[in-house]
Amino acid sequence: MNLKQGRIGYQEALSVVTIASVVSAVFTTDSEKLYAKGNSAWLSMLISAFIALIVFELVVYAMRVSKTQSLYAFLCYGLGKQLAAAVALLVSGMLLCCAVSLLARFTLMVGRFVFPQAGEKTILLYFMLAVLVLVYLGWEGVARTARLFLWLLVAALVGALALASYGYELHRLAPFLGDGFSSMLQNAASEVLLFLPAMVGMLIVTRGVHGMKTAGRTGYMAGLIGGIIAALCQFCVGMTYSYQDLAQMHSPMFRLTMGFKSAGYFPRLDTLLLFGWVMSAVLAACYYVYTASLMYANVFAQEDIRPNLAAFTALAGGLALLSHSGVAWLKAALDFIGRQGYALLAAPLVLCAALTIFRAKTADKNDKNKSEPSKEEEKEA
Amino acid sequence: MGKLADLLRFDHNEEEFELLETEQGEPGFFGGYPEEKKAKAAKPPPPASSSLKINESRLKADFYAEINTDVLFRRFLLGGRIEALVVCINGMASGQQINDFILRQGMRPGCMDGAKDELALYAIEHVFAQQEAKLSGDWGEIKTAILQGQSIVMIEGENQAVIMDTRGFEHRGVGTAENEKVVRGPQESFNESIRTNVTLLRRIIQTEDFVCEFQKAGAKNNISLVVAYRAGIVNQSLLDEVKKRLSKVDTRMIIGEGTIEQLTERHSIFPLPQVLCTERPDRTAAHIMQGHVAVLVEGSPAANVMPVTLFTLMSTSEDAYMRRPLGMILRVVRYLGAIISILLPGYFLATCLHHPGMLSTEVLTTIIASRQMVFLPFGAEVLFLLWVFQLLREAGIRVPGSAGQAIGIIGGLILGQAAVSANMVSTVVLIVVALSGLGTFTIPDYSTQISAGYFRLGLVFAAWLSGLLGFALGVLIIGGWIASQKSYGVPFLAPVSPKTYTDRPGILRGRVTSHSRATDYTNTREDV
Repeated sequence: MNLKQGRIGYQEALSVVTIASVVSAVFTTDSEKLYAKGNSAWLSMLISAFIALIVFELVVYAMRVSKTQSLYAFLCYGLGKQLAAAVALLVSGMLLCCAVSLLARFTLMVGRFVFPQAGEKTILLYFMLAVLVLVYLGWEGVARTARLFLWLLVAALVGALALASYGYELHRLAPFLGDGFSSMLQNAASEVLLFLPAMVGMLIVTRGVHGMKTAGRTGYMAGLIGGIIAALCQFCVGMTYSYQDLAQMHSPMFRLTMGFKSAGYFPRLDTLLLFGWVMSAVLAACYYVYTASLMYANVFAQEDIRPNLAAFTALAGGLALLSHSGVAWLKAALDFIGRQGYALLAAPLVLCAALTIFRAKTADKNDKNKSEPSKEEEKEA
Repeated sequence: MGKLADLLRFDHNEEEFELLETEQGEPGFFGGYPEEKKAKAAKPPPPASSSLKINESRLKADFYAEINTDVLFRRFLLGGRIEALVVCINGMASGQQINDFILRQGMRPGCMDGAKDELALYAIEHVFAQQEAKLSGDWGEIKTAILQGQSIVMIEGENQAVIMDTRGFEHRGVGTAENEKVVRGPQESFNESIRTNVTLLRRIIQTEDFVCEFQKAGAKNNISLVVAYRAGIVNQSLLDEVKKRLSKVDTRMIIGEGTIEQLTERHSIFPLPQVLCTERPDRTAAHIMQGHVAVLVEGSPAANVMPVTLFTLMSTSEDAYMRRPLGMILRVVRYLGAIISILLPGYFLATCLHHPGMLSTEVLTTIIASRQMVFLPFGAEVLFLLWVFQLLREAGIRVPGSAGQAIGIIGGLILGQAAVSANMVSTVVLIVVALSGLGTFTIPDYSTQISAGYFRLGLVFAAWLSGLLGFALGVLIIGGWIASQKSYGVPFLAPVSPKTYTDRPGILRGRVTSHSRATDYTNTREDV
């Protein structure tokens, strides 16, 4: 075991990224858009996870080739300092958006299903307090807590799917490909944003996971596991409700457990499961806030990340609150990020990766040419 | 009349003694001490002189011999011709040893006849029949030796004293462990003598690399402590850290290992202990064998073992002595007890108060019926009962002997019954709190038991405030807090989070295998 301060092992890293990607993919999807034209969300989830994996692997490969040790260093190498700072801030913003999206969604879920009398503001305050305390515990604290509570998320998801299993019908998955393959691909592309930020976050905290090797492996595995779990959840949801019903549901997973009623002493397990998910969501939000803060700190060469943590938590909470208040510009912005966010995040990374690989290869060639004597030189020798 | 006037007068009685201390200025509203000025490094005292008269007068002055009558100064003629002096403290040193092996041997006529220049060395080699004897001219060392119960002999013309271990003070014998009882396995426990404690460890750890470093604890009362470890396997950085923290101790007094624990810990507001305090030599030895470091303090019948994890605090030595299926059941029961103890009151309060829909009609009807006449709010009722439980527990511990047990049982029964009759509490809440209290006692470590109370109280407040939302977030924050802590560099939740190699998972006990690897998280030299 490594006792180095501020660093975590592979399992903790995997836990935190898996929780972030699964919670984002299962709970923050827009049902209206996802199920508008059919019940193919489970398939599109798999495809989007696959796309996210390709982008991630490309970036990891480029980082390996360029021998850079963090995402910001990689961006600087590929794009130059000015452009890298802009892209890094964009990545930081996207990570913050993921935290906002989680906080907003779970505030709404708790508000609607458990505390209908309480306002979102009150509920959100509880979330923010928990997020603030946890992120202040640091990277080790967040990741080790995730390792501890991973089983809770697994149990809460498996429990929900098992409870609802009596109502599964395969025919409800129709139409299988929705409106057609192209519309499903479109959905899949926009869902890349559910997986990619969690994986990219890992590349920001490379130092905290003992380097690029672990970060790359963790991101890859988390994307894979997250994709499979999210697809499985969507598959079960799809077998329970028709796509017309699903399009009108705010939180299909919660509805799934609400349908279950036993005659025993614990007839309502939905609330209990919801709080299992809430804990995972808070952990995921902590991860996003932490990585966003770290990226920001990298750009401005700040050594102490704690002021950023407080500011980013407040910002995430404030934005989540505004999203409930129906502020038009924010709603439009969040909609835009929901639709085009994947491109905003993936495009600069892919571009940077391409440039980096090109530069690194060219530099390698030049080095080889310099070190290898030409034929004339050999003859002379 | 005069007495009456004295009684009724408003000003101070002139004969009344008052000890006023105002030199340090006005103390702060919330207490505390003003910043201490750094004391100038005191000059070391001059070494012992070759004149016996000077040495005697110095020692007499240092030990206030005029009034301190238990410090014995005994002059005699070494070999019938050389003036010498024995100094010891009556009661600390064994009179029989001094008589038989120092005075009787030293007073034999002609025993120093072969001595030429180095009289003290000759006396050690030819006269005094003591197994542990050395020479020292360091005045501080000489005085410390006397204070520890050793005897010193000073010889005319020698600027070095002979220090001999004649310690023979009274101490409690090796008894059975009172606080960590086991059914199977060794029953003996540490006592207040550090020498005996080290011996108890040495009897179990019979390896040549087992080191017991004696050193001063760093307090004005000059108490000693022992840092015990296996030099062959202990992680050097862990050992350095322990020694570094011990070396920084500079306090007025240290009485017991609890003081050392507090002076060397890093997270003073974290409720869980950061070292394992055990009174069992077998448990201490088992940890030392795994690469841990133990600190024993003179006068304390317990050892501090570091580093520690939550799973260490939740285990007993019996776990290893029982066969696997039995040990596993014991552990599962213990962990369930701990979980019930911490989570049950909060969860019960949250569901009944904020989410009654989660309960079936039967359960809900029972709770409502039992609470019908109770005038206290639900949350206050739970808190009140928790407080009563702590009260009974504290009273039961402090009252000596069997009366303590009686207070626990009778107090619980009578108070519980009376509180229900008086409509202060309901039977259901009483059962929940009693279950929680019972669960607390399954936690083996005493400090951890008390810490569980903190977490339980926090969760009850959170649940009262905001139902399962507060409860869930409270659990998360507590989990996060514990997960982020470290004890001497080892994460508190190892080997679960971070996951480390282990053949004995935290809760379910693994097989006792024949391999000899140490615990992974101690990072012993064997791992390198």
